[in-house]
Amino acid sequence: MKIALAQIEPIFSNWDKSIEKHKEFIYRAIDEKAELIVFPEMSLSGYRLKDLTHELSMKINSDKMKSVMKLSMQIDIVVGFPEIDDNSRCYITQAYCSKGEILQTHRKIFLPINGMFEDSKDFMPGKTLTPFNVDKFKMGMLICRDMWHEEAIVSFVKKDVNCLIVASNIPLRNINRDGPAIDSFIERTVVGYAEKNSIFVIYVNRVGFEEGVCFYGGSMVASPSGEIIAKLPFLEESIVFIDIDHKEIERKIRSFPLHYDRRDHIVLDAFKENF
Amino acid sequence: MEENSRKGKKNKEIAAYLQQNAEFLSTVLEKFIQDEMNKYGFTKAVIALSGGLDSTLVSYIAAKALNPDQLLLLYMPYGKGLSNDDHANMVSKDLGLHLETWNIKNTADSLCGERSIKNPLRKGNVFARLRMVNLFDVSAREKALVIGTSNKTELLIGYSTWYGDSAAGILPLGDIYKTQAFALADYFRVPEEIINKPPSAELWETQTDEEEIGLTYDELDQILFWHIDKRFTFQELVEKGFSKEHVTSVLKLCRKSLYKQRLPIIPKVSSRTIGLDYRLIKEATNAP
Repeated sequence: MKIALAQIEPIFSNWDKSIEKHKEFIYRAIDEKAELIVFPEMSLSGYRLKDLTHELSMKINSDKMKSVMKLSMQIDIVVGFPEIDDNSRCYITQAYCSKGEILQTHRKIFLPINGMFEDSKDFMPGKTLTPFNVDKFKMGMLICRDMWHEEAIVSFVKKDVNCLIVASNIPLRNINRDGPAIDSFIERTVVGYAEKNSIFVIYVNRVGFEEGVCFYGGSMVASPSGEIIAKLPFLEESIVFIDIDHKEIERKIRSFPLHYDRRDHIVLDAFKENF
Repeated sequence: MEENSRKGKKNKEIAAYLQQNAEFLSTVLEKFIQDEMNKYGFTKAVIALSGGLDSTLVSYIAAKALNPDQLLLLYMPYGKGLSNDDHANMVSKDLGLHLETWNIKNTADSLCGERSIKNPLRKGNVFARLRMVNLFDVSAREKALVIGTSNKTELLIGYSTWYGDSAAGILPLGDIYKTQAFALADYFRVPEEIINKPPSAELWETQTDEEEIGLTYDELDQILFWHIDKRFTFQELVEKGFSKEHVTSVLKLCRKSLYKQRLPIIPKVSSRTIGLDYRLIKEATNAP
């Protein structure tokens, strides 16, 4: 399956320009015969919406989201947007669009509130993690901070997810001699999840500034054997195409069937004891 | 001899945790300047260049981010600016940028004379605010973004004139400690004469920052780094080996200068109050 990682700078609060930018990247991916293009968290709106949250949030079946779905006739598209439900509750949502429809959505579950983050001030947390089938892959979507919490990964792996899509808006904090200090943590996390669970992890982070906050990019794909098979540059808007082959998962499991010695009851016991 | 040892100290003994990837950092700062210019429709920018390290460094960063015809350097000495005349000229020549000079002496003397301002601190503040008045007028004349030069160290301890030298549209060095600025200046090959001279706010002749603050920038930045960035408490800083007196003095300076880091405080009497719960980022400017 040929996938495109669209490491874009979302346009803050401007639908027309934003959808134009998405189209530009989608058409490039179609030209390259990619079957899936993944955009970052909140790619259609920008991130720090604050008091604009309700105004900019969209219903799943809104005309705007329908226009995004229409673009998915030739290529599957993963986009991020602020969602509003029928009860005026807002969520940070990622949608997997395919064949003109939304195949699956994921609402961000873990909403950061520390330091510069205000997610849980403006948004409700999602509650569920639902896998879905695409081609031979069983996919699962996570959004940014979701990835930092092991229980989300454990849950998806238990549900046999073998291709994880993580859409992010991770800002730069410290800079060390290698560049963005946080990048080594993200790399270890992405690679660690991929290698330990024999899955592909597709991680797409945004670039650009929002009032001085710098989103640094560095999107990547890690293979089931723990190799980084694609890595995008820091600070630059960019797109990369990469093939992911289901056979790699089979080969990894054949050579190192780590899941044979999984003992999920240990996790279950821990929860039982502490609740 | 003394100057050489100063430079040696700054370049070689910058604490490991304050070291950064200068190339990456400069790319972030360049992109930040370009982003602010592009988002808000500025085609020009202006920097008040004193000939000291910070304004020189900001000039070098901005010169890399922008085209030469987009950037204006404004030099505003009081009388004869001693070594700074040479240094300001050196910077503009090295960067190939136009240097506009306005000597504040006549206006400053006249104002201080009429208002009987003799206290050096008050005079220093008047000088800083006169420069600000002219800087923002040039900004209006040229429709130029004012790029300020304050660094994280001076912002945290309030070592600046409120609405004087701290007034700007953006502060590229605002999250960078002074010792880090020295390292970045090396990367940009800022002339050694400028890196080597003792940092001074030049509120009066012979003034140096370190003497006035009572600590070296090395120690000051280390205390600030562990306290602000790493959230060490007073006790933990002392246990780490910093003297009680120095830690007390730095923490006190930080607390005392919080007012300078804010918009003027507004009493809340409505449902949405500016600076409190009227929450929009500046990018909303461009929302349709």
